[in-house]
Amino acid sequence: MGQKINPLGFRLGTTQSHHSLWFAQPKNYSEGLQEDKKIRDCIKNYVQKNMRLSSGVEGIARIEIQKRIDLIQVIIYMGFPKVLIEDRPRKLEELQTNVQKELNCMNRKLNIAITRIGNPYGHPNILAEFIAGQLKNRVSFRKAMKKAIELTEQADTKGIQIQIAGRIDGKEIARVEWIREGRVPLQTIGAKIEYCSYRVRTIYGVLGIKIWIFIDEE
Amino acid sequence: MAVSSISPTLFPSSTIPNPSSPKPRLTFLSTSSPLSFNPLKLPTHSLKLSQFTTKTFAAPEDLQKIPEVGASEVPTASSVTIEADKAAPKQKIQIKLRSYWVPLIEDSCKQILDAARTTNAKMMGPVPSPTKKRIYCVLKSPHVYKDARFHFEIRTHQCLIDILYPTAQTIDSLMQLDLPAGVDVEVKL
Repeated sequence: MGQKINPLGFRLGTTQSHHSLWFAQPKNYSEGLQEDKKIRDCIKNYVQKNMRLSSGVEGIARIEIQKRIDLIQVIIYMGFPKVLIEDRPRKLEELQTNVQKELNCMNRKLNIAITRIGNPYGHPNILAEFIAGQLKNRVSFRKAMKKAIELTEQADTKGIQIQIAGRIDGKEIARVEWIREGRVPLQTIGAKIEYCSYRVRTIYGVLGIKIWIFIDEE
Repeated sequence: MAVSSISPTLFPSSTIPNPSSPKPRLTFLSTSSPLSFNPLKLPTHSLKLSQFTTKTFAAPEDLQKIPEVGASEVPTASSVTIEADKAAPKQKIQIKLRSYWVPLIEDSCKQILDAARTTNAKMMGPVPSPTKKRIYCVLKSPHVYKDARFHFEIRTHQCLIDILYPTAQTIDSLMQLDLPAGVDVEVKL
């Protein structure tokens, strides 16, 4: 078996849509890209920082950015939008001012909206955060994977594959473990597959979690 | 710059007096894009259009808020000249749409055409120009393994719309238009 291509990039033209919608001349393309990265990092750090207080899994599935000439529209798809919706106006505005300070551009308005996803555990990013939390608490990895799969069964997906790599259970020799439920046709371009690769930092080192979820076939 | 922007047919008149001037622009563009493979395939007529267009289409909200005062990004000179020259016969608006996604550009074309049609302005329909492809080739591996590479490409789709004899009404309705986010609009008078 050779190397596998990232299934999101493989399907970009067909079943996968872009998360950033904007146009830039080749001269300004790199600036736009860097702005995008700053926005995403800022949002993720803010949510992680404030998550400590409320506990639970704050799942950001994806962040969509649309840029027009005078307006930047950011849509955050969240599974459990507790942190940002509890004290409704305050946290959102704080986030907005944070991001604007990062971006340093006052000539464009920034608009942040939050959308809740139905079936949060059907999305790999949220699932990966869940597994990461479990692994940090030194739950046995097989139990963590099985629990995650149970959650996905409720969320109505046709197939899921989870892979964990690194110093599993804190052992000295790193290895790769994976399990699969249902079917995950990675070679079929018409199959809608959501993928996520997530890094967990444990006291023994870094573990890599990869999750493929097969949602639908066209 | 202003003289050449008025005449609609740029290409024959500008090449004859200075044949060497397009070339430095060509090389400039090719070196600015780090790994693109087809600097020479860029069609020259689109190059010249990008040289001479200095005005960008301002978003409708911006122009409504700041009608006469010049803002940093919005060249309000264009709005002033539109109102001033509306009665001139040889005046026409050239709109150039650019995007990475085909359905978005088709949508925007339709919106602009509808807006112009409802105000009864004569127009030359959407003319799609050839798609420009910028191909980037990167090494797959973080170290060594020079033969394993990855090709990415960015496709830019272009569409031209001409509006002849624009009235103040058409211009108003065009300013009102809210085009989707991934489309870049350039308006030239």
